Amino acid sequence: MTDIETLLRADAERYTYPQPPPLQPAMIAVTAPHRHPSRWLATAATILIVAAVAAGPVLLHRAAKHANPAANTQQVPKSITVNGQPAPLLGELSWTYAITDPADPRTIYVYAASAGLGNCGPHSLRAFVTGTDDDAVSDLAGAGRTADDPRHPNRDRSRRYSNVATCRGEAVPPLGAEWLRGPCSAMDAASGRRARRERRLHRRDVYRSARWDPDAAELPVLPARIAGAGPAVSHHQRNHRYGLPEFAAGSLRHRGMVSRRSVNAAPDVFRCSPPDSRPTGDSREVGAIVLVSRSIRPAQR
Amino acid sequence: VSLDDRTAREIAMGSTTADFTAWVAPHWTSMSRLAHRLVIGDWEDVLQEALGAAWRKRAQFDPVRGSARNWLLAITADQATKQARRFNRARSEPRADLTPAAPPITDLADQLDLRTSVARLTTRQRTAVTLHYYLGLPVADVAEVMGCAPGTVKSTLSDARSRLRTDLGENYR
Repeated sequence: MTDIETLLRADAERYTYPQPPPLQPAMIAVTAPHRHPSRWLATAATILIVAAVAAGPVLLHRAAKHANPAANTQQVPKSITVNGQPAPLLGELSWTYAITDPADPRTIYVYAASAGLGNCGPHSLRAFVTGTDDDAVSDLAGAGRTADDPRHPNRDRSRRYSNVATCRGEAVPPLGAEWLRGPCSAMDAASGRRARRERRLHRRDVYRSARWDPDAAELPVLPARIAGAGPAVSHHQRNHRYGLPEFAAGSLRHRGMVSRRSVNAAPDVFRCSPPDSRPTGDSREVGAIVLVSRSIRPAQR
Repeated sequence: VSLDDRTAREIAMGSTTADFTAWVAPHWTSMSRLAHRLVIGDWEDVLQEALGAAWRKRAQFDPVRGSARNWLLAITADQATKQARRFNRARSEPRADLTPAAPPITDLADQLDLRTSVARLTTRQRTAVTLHYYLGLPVADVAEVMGCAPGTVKSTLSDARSRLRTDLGENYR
């Protein structure tokens, strides 16, 4: 007869644990290889993981774990540093999609679709890279990049991605900036029941009309935001509808993606961009980000 | 409140990640081990979730209510529980990444049986067993981590042992 307690204690003594991941703070700076932000599209996969690096000390190990130096050097940022040291570059994540704002090259949006990061559709919206200035909301409609755009440097990847994005069983278009921000055109309407109803119907129509058709030649483009208008959909509504995690990052708050409270709760986490992140010459630095996310991982783990 | 704890609070409240890291570092291994023991699958994810949560909640740390270690372990255990809920995996699945011990306790089969049985315990029981037996925390500290009375921990441990006995068969008491 063996005593269970003895057995447990003996097992505890012999149990071997893996090394804990390194614990070190990380601040990142990303230098773009090209002046034009469209070139950033191809760097989305890497940026995504860099975002993870910035999200917290522990995440650093993950970037190292999945480092793939064999990645196409044409498609990775010129340099990524973490605390001044070169950061490991990730290989590619197969299903990522990004839109950059030509008017604000400091801002990079990265959307990671489900198959690459998990199995829950837009829940996998994990990372945004954004600049410091969270008032720098500009119209992203001009980006105009779709998976079918021959100029899309990430065309094939985006197409592949777009076949897998679903939200609660419903196909969801690859999220462009307009989609993320939601239609806002009715927000300037007068207050009152009628205006609210109009806004609601408008939102419904817009979303319905924008529903993604996997066979469509082009991705839907939602109406651009009216300058100065507030978000049409609160982040709670948006999160509810699209299952977006409650992530917060700089300008995302301004776009109604996140609450002011969540940003203020950890300002140094949520806004850790270097102040000097203006484009300089052929390179530019993009500030660190800010999401504390669940899991960011390549598709083939 | 000890001076160390006061200092720890000040560090925890510090505005830089370096301060925070310094504060977490002494307990990092324990957090890592707890996550590894409790989580089936991606324990590193849970660990980073826990760290993120600790960062966000660091202002809530109160040394009067418990030590930094227990506070961090509580967060880790909480994240592990959430992960278990999220994935709702069958607890009967033995962990694939359990490292076989070098010399077996009695024999390898016993050891694997034990670990499989521990993995079958409820989340709460497994947390108590891990904290008490594997991390060596006294019952009072386990109670602090789990946010319950010491008596509750004792009964949880007792329940866990009897379940293990049932699972392992009549050779164990």
